[in-house]
Amino acid sequence: MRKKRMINKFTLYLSLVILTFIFLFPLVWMLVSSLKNEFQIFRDMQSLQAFLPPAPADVEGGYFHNYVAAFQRVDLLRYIINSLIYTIGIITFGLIVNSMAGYALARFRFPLAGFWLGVIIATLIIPPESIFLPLYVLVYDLGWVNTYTGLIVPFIANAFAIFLFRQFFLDFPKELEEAAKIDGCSQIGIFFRIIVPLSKPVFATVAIVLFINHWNDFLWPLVVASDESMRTIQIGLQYFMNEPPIKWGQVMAALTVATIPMLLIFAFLQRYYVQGLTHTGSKN
Amino acid sequence: MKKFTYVFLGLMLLLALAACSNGSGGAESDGGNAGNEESGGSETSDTVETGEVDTSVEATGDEDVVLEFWIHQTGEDETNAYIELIDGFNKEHEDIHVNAEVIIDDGASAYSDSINAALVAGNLPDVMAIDGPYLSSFADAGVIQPIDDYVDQETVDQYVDSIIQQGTYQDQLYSLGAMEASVMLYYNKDILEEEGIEPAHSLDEAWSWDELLENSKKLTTEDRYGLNLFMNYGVGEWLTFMGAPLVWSNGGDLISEDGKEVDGYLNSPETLEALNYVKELFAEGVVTESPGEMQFEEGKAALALGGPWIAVSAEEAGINWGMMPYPYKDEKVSPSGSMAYAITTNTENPEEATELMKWMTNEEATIKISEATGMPPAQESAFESMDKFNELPWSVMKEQVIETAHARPSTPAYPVLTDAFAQSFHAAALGEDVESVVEQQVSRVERELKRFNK
Amino acid sequence: MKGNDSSAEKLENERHFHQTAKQPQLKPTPPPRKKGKLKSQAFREAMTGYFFLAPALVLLGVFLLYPMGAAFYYSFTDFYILTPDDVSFIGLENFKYIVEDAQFRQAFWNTVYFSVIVVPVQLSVALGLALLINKKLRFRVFFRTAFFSPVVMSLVVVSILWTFMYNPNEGLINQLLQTVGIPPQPFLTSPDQAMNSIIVMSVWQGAGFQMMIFLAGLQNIPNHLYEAADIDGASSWQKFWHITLPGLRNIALFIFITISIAAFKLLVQPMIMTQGGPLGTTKSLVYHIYETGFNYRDVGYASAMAVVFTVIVLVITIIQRVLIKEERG
Repeated sequence: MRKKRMINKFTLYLSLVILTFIFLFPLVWMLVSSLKNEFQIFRDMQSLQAFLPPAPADVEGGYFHNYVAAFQRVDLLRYIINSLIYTIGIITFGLIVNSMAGYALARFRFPLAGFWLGVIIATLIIPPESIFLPLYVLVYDLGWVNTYTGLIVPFIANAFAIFLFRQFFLDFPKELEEAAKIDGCSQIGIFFRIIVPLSKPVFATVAIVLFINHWNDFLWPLVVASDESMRTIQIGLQYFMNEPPIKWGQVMAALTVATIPMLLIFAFLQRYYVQGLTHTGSKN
Repeated sequence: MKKFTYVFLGLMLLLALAACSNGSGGAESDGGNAGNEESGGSETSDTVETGEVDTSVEATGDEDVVLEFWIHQTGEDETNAYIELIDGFNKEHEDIHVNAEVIIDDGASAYSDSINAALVAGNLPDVMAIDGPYLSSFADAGVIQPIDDYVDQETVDQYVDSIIQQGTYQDQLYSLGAMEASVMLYYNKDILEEEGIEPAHSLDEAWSWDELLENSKKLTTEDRYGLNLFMNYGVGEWLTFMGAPLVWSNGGDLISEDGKEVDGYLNSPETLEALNYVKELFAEGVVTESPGEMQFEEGKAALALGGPWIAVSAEEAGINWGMMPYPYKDEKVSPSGSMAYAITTNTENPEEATELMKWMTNEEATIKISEATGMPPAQESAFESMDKFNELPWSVMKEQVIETAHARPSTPAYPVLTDAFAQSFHAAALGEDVESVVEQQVSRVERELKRFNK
Repeated sequence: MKGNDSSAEKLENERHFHQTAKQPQLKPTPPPRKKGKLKSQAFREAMTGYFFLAPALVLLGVFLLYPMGAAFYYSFTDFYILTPDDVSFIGLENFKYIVEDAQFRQAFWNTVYFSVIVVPVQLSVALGLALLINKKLRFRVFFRTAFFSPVVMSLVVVSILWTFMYNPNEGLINQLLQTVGIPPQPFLTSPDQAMNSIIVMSVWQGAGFQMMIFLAGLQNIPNHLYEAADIDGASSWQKFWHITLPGLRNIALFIFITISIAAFKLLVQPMIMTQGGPLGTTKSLVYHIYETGFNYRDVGYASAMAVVFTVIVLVITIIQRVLIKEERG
């Protein structure tokens, strides 16, 4: 019996390790290759050396030579800052606007509430690419081309975020609000002083979802932020792909640079994120 | 559209309101005082207004002409060369100021997406870089304007024929370019020597289709391909740029001379024969549809039909390389065309804009760009003053650009036409039935042509 | 878990809150409406509701619904990007061409093929991973993070990376296959394999996201159900079938619908990895729409296809909902 359990345990961990390999090897390969020169990248692919960092002595021009080259080639730092302003702008305003909307749909009775919920969910279906032209014309007429406003404002309201917030607030214990009301708090006061502080998990979840979505945006920043000083990192990445022959070491370095902010954000918010999902995911 | 500004301001007001009560923390419970909220809100919206709207308005000096100029961004040396040229122009012309905007060109559609969006919004610059063959559609739609009035014949004569051919639509000149491009048959000297194959050293000695096929077969071994067609660039403009001369050399065409008729051209026997030749190359296994990035530079392909940039990377890789002219069937033709400049109908200063265009493409500029990019220059005199073009292997490229360069078709339906040809070429490479694929593509282009043949 | 929370009061609140959260509520409980209550009470609530909803509604209206309306209008015109001032109404011409357009048909079936495979596979992989991890494990957080990491890496980055890995001659996967004696595969260059290769990558990239949601759902299944089953001597298979699966029902449906919609919106992967080729076998509907509108400048036709696309997805979503409701009885 104990033996059997041991074997079970062994198979479980073995399969977990294999799965971990499958899910992690591209990431590891990317990180490791970003430290190698072109020759090493291609040579190492024939063996497990592909997943091991090069010995510092084998790397000419410094261990991070690809990063140095990539940052020299284009203003990656600027692009990352732009991307951060863009995504953090959307997240900041998005959290306020969408949480309010989700709260309204979860808490209040008002005419057309169901209708608006339906409309909001229906907008999830539309492929954003199909409305970018009219949207661009609108943003141009507002004078927002090549501004952060033009990048951010159209994407503050987000149907999926509203939906997640609504699901979360449906479960929020009413007693707290009632108590606050008796204490003479206004609705706004209640929302921002009582509900928001107790809803960290869902805010973290939505923040991560918004971050993942918008950190990756390509077409919209491309057309709206055509000026180089406004360029975001995803568009900057294309720069490394556009001139043959492609320097893969630099591509790997650039991809790593584009990935790091996402990893950091997730690492910081992971705990809340898991909690948030626990509350939002359980309902239809 | 002002309405929307107000809507947005109203929205900011709401946000400001919410933010206020958030910011007040636990100090006091504010019971929705309407008057307070409004004043707080409008203050916030004021700053938004000035902060965002004003920056997009250009501050134009009274006597100075300001030109907005869009250039595409590929390599850093190239971009730096453009910037230097523009700085030089600004210094030289006290009454004209050029604002350059560098827009990313990812080799796919990023640059044209930016142009398209700006076009719909009426936000085009005064001068912009466009890809040569796309000129017809811009000219046909009246997006760019002819420059015949501002350019004299003497200036025109300085450019190589193919650049003027590319810049002309319906007998009017629209654009000038600083660089040409070409496709050479690169070869690995060591491998050819080993196999006892004699390369061509001039246009006269150019290989025929049969020679290319036979020699490629001989050069193919277990771990080496005879030929590389750079199919890794994807199914796009490259296939038309590199592949269309096969059709022309065989006496065919992609579309009628006036650019209005595709049936009987794209599916003509001559075109089909050229595509079947491509099919044969692949079927014989002398070329692969998925070559590695550096196949030629690593010696894994003996020959390569590639752009001028292959010379740069082959040199960097340290292989012993040479170049031959583009192979022919009947007539000797070769690929041509590159980015060029055009003046939009938006501009109020076409004369100054043309001045800028001439500056960006004059002999000095074309040499500078050629040195930065490795592309052939666009002026004949530049070839003479650049030493490298007067000796092997570059003399072959010079000869080819001046003698056999053939611009891509001039038709407003070019975006669809080029994809139709690229798809057909790719289908041939994959061993598909060329005829049925081409027929399908013909009907696609015909539908597009209807738009212009009204 | 909550060791970092500063105030003990907060902790108490949250705990209280967690307990309530365990009883899922489907609809908001409306405040009890007493007859004879003043009308102004309802009015005030409606005002407050709209006050909270307004910012989102206005933004969605201006930046989503208005452009949608414009696109809907364009779908009946010959809007061509180069001549934005010369747009004429052409009735149903664009919609008629959709029926003839061989590329649309191919893109439609490609998209259906992608969705029909990705949705169940990704759902099962996500569920499988969640079940594997939802145990007392050493390094549990590590495994969870590992499985989630492709989601964090972003679709664009992942697509570039896999294009390189799939390369037949010098790609990582083929190099690894060759060391075990398997000949190189034309993953992205063969019409038979390209879409499947994209599917594999998409599942790999996305499954971690749904795994997280499943994990959350698993934690919401009350433990006492399993304890009771243990007492009854149920096998682990029986427990899975009778407790776990029903407990995950709602989550699975939620995931099912969201993955379906996302799968139908396939764009980034083929755009970066194959440009829709070889022979159009990986061209998706949204990619075809994007290409028609931006590359071929035919905004009228692209808009018509977008309208049809939206209707198709809407119908599928409604069918899914109806089926789900029916099943519920």
